[in-house]
Amino acid sequence: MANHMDAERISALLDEPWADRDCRAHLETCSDCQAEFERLSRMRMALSALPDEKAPAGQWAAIEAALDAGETRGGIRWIERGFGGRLFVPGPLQAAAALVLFVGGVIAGLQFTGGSVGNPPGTAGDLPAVVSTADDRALVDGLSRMESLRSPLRQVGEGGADAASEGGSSARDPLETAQRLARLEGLIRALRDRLATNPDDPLASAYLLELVETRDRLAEDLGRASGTRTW
Amino acid sequence: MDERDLIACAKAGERSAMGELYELHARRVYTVIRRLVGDDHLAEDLSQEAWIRAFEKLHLFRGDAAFGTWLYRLATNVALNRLRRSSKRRPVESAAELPRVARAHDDVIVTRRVLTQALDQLPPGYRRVLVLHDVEGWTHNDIAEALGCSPGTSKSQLHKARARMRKLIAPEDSGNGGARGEARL
Repeated sequence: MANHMDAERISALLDEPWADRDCRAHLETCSDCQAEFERLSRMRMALSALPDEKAPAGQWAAIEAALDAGETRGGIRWIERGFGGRLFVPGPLQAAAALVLFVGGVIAGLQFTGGSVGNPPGTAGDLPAVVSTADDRALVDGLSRMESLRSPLRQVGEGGADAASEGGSSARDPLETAQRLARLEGLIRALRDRLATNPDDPLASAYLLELVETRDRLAEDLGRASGTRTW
Repeated sequence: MDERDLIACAKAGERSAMGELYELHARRVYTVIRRLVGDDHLAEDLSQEAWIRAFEKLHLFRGDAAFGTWLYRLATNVALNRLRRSSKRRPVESAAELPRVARAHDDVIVTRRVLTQALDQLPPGYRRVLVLHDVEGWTHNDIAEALGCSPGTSKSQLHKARARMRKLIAPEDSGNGGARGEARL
């Protein structure tokens, strides 16, 4: 190997010195590449030794304020940050909550005025019939989609993330956990496909995170149960 | 009061115990997120979000794993999720647009500050793999699982990220081949 190695190949050699015999042989005879190898090696060591940074001043007060404000389990959060008093509302949660509130209001209004809704809130059922504008229909469509996204997780594990939480599955049969993991993988793939075609879908994006977290917890539990470390 | 007691009290809603848990882990949570997102203000928002989520989900933590492991994973997920969402809206960076951050001359030992600056200037895709592997010590399998890619892609991204870091730190002596200077890290 007459030419010098590029940094990417040297980097690969850093992690897997046995993998590329030609490069290793070149390294032994080329002082320039040897020096580059040592520089990359030092960079890697320096990165691994970077000290932690200081947490933002006043952050705990902001967190306490958010906790005090009431909210929570999966709802809208109002967070005061520092002295700026900034409002922070996660987009997907905001959208989901808005949908629920809107449709709930429509149904309550109909019941109050003598109208009828055949299906309970959250199902596609009669809902499109009770709205008139394009925006309303979009909201109801969103709610229906949210429900269609959530229902598979209920089937995978009762209560979704709660069932997959620590302690939720370790007492279960490992085989059952493995089967649930496999089904979760399928759902995750399906959601990723959905996001590939519609990357700005906030509901799919938020739900993908929930699924991935659930999957990770199940994998952890399964690893503990089988005595192997998955994470 | 040890950490296990603090967690028990925090689960019961005791605010002072939550505060002590925060004091114990705040730096690490912020640092992990800060390095992944490369931005102070975003890191501040996301670390706050991570803590609120952690307290919301604390009742799910049984204590088999270390609390820190559970918490840092949660914080990492918060940051990765945000990066995933924002990367869909951001145009792809090109090497030509990459700013130079460090003036690491041949005989200068690069400081931590320069390393941190260079990390911040990496494209997000490179940065998250480099941070997770070289800073946080994740394996390629773990990274691949978290990012939804293959371990091979994670390796490839890592090597490109390191090469880019070298250019950022000492651009004048990190060319492909040719005489290289003696910049030291």
